[in-house]
Amino acid sequence: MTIYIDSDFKCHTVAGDGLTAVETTAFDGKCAAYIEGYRFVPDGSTWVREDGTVFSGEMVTPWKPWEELDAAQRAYERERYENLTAQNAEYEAALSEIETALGVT
Amino acid sequence: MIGRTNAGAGGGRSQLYYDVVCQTAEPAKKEGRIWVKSSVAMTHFEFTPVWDTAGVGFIAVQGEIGGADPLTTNNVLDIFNTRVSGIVNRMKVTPYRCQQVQGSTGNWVDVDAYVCHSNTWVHFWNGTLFDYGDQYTTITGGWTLSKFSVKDGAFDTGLTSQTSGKDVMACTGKKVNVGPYKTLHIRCYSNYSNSGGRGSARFGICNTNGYSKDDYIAYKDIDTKSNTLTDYSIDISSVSGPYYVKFYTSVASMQGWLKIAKMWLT
Repeated sequence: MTIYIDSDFKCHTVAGDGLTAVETTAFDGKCAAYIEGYRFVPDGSTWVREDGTVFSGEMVTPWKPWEELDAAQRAYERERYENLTAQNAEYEAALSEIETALGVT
Repeated sequence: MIGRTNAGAGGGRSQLYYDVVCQTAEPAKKEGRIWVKSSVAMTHFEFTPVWDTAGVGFIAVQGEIGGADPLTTNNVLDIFNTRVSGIVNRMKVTPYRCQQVQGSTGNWVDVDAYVCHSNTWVHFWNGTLFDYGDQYTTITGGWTLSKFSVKDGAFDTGLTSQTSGKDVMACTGKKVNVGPYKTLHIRCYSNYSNSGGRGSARFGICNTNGYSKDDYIAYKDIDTKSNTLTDYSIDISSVSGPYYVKFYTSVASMQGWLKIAKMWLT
């Protein structure tokens, strides 16, 4: 998938001014809120933390509290599951109507 | 300097099991005594996370509630152990990190600290997870090794003999509380390229300890062509709580080896 990183290597899910596109599999299946709480330092780049510590890529690490990101991801997965369940119910209802119309039991 | 950690309020005699000595010379041994090895005078001692405005001399110990009964094989602190109306009231703390503000306000420095158990000084954990064969089992639960072996005082993989190098892993046997720390480090050496092989390796923290490179919460990819002992580090300042620390590599066809010398937290 494509993510976009700013000058501080923070991730974004939508392209914008000053953002660099990066292809990665690190966030496959993750929701936007999760991805946007992360910092992605590509291979060959370095990021300097506010205390002066230097980190080289490829490094992927949260810059927001990870528990918060995990909660967002779980909520996203729950919602996706509920949507799929509702969709399946609609399909099954439609199928039943077709079967009834065709006289198939 | 001896800081008396004597609450004593209301009852006169302290129910605390420990006192704190802050000096460079070894103090007299006393069960439960905490020795902070520092030349900077102690002004305050507290079990607390650190903060930016603490003054010079402040000592902060981070850890977690609980632990085994204090023994010479562990560094568990008995904070108090008493009876109230016949009911045992006890608090134990497993210390992780001892820091002191030195030089200027807010400048936290890791300092060595010990607790006295059975006339022996037991070192507080200093953030090390593995060091040339020492697996720091009390903290890590011992390292779960797959296609790794502890050899000649260091981890030494047997990749040379493998035609399929899947699931080469070293993972802590239990989750480690990384909350008091901001950076995870590894010092390792790889000669994959010298042997004509190619491969990737990943180091970081995970919620699970399975054979996967996709379950990391934070990770750093390791240069498998370094051909020299190299330090790598990961920012974990936004992560708190217990996690597995894991090194993992999975390669289709591999010759060569990778040695891990040390892993630690700061």
